[in-house]
Amino acid sequence: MIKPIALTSILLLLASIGQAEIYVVTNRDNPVATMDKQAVRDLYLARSRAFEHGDAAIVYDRGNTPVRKRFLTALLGMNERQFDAYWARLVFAGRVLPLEQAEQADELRKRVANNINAIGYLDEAPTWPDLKTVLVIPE
Amino acid sequence: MVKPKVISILVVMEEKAPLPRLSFALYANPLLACILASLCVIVGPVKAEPDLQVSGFGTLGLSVEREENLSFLRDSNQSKDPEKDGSILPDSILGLQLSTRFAADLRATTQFVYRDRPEQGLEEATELAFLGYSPIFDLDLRAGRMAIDMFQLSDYRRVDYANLWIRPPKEVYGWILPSSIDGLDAAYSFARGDYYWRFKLQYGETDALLEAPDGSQAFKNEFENFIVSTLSLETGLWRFRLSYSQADFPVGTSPLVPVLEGISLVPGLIGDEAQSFADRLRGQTSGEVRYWQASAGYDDGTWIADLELAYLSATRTWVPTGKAGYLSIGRRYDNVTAYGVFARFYGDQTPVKGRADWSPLPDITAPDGQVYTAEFIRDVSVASINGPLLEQYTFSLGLRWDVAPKVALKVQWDRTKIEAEQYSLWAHEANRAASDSIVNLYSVAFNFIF
Repeated sequence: MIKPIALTSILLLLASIGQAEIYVVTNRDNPVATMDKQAVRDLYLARSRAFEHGDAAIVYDRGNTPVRKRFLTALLGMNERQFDAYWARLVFAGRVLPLEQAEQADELRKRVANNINAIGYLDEAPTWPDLKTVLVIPE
Repeated sequence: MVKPKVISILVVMEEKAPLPRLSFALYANPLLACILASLCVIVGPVKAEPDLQVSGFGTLGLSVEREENLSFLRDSNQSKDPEKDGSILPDSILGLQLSTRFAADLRATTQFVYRDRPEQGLEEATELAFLGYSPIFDLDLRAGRMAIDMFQLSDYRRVDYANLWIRPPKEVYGWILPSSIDGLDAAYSFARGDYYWRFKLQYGETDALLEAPDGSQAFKNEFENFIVSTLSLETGLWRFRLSYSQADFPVGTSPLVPVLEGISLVPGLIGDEAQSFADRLRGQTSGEVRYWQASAGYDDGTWIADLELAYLSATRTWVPTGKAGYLSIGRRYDNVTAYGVFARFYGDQTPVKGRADWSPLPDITAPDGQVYTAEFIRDVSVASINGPLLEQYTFSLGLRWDVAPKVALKVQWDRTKIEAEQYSLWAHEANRAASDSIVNLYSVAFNFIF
């Protein structure tokens, strides 16, 4: 027989999986308070290059990590293969430079903390004081 | 039998006209911009934090067909060997790209590509070398050597990983000679909601080395005042594109024309035939080509479809002219995509045939001082007129398997029907018998990017 406490834990775990979210983060001092999904989508598709206030955005991707797959699906409705092919077209046509990469969360945190114009994403809310969440994308 | 040595002896270019005087120093010497861009990338940024980005792409491909006296080419500007039935050369490629950013608005990119071509060298391998400047975020200005942007896939047509198929449909992409342009371009783009618009203009010059169909000789084709204008729109799952391009050729003279005009004085069938050949070849010496293009694409993650139509007209017949297009439909099943393509090129030039017997004529001394038989002159004339002609269609079926991130394996079967005397997308002997051909091409390719 499953103990009530164990059952509660399982239910909470399932609930947290069902309500998983991706957190889009910037530097704490970035003037942007919040962003909508379209604005983040435009940055990750290289359709825009700047934040709303006019500063150039430095956009970070997460290499080969599970959160990347979830982020691309939730934000763009694309799988990784589609996204890689899309960026290959842009980069090798000489239209844009490749996305910056920060595979590990700690690495991303350092990069975003050190650059007021950096933007990236995490699979949990940032606990570091030098980062802030500008968009939460539910899955 | 004497094999006609085609084409390169036929066109003698006059001295190249001087470039238009522009105030842009980098345009005035595009090579300078290319060298500058290369140096900038290699030397690296002057700021403290290194920012050199290295990326690349490649394909190891094998293609096999069994057609006698016809040999597969991916592009008409590859090396040609009519006896070859299977090879890794047409589809295999390796590209290395170096990029750096000096400031938010200034960058440089250089791309070196190793692939099969008539001549290998650093100049040929350098497909991109430009400086890019963005005075505002929506505007990109570039100077140096850029990918030419004539058609939907033109500026990344060699990056096979980025495309669904083993190669872009030959009927639309096999005959586009130049891949890069030396000059300037400007692109203005903006997003409004889910509508992303992009306008682009390119201007410059380029050249392409093209081998005779039997690979015996190569000659350089120059394009001047090359203008490419494009308008594209991406919205939702759709993308659309319209473009118009035109270019001038340096004016040249075929040395065959005066020879044929001399023969045309002979009364009867021989003279009439020589006159008609001279008229066709005289048309080769003026110089303008125009390309129109329209395309639409759809991708919902499961289904992927592309339609592209093009029209090409030219006043010089060494490039194919006519209508071209393809329709491609693919269906994704997790990491595997199955696809089918139908592509066609409708040529608008009629091939000629040598019907008269020229053997009674005496030998002829050509402007180069060599003596040829009249029959040889006739065969060379026919081969020169028919050499660039193109009329064919292809059904293709294939599978793409995304084996791992940034790695794909593809297999493809192409069945191509080629009209007689219109083999310009294939290597062939100049004296190949005039007959329709059906070619089955089997290909496998391994694509990667990094």
